[in-house]
Amino acid sequence: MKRCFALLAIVLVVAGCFGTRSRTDVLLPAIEVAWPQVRVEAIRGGLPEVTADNFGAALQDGDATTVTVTWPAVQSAAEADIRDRIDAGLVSAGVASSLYERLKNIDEAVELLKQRPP
Amino acid sequence: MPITQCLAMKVARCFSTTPYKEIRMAKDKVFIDLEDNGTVEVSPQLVDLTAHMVSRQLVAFAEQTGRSLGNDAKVIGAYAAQRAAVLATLVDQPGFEDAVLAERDNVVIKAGIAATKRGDAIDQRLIGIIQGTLRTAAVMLIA
Repeated sequence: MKRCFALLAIVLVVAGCFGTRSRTDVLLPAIEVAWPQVRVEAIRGGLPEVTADNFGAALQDGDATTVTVTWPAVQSAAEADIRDRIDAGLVSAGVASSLYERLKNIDEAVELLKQRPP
Repeated sequence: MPITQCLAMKVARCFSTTPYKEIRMAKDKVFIDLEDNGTVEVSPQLVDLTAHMVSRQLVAFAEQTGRSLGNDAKVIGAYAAQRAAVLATLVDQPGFEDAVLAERDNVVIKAGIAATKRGDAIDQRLIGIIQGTLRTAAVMLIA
């Protein structure tokens, strides 16, 4: 019986590792594709460069914990920039909806990362 | 200038991976001057094709890989087509180039989310396919 539990535990741990690997191997590179554009928005929106650098490094290093912890600040700053650019007439409301959609998608990806942090 | 040609010019500028010096308009046509001194004319019909290519390539990829993507590719393909349609409504609006990049990112992230929910190990290839498809689209736009 103990052997069965041990085997079951090993299987669950291995399955958990696959889930975590999938999240970091897929979601972080996907976010990384969008990061250069979001970084520009976030810095214009007031995000400190050091925070942006940390977020970028975390994406590259596969550090999901730092990504999930830092994301709210990045998101707030990027949203502030989009609002400012709408007010300044630099982007239309339609274009802004595309930019907001990107932040929403990243937020959804970050939520997935949170569900099973590595 | 017809709206499709204007879209062709802007999408080519955003997605292009081929070195070019300038994208210019002459009469009602769009020309791209390449780094090697060649000049190509953009076909506006290819813009519509670009929108379809993303979704069709993803569906084809799903069919090739079978179990790994399943219905996700169709969902992502539909999402890509939907976002491409949104882009078409934004032509000539301020910040259009930003929207093109945002929609590219949206498709990639959505694909990552869908694939992660399925927990497949082949996910990395899907991102490559999307990027590859967009690059192909760029090449077609200026070929």
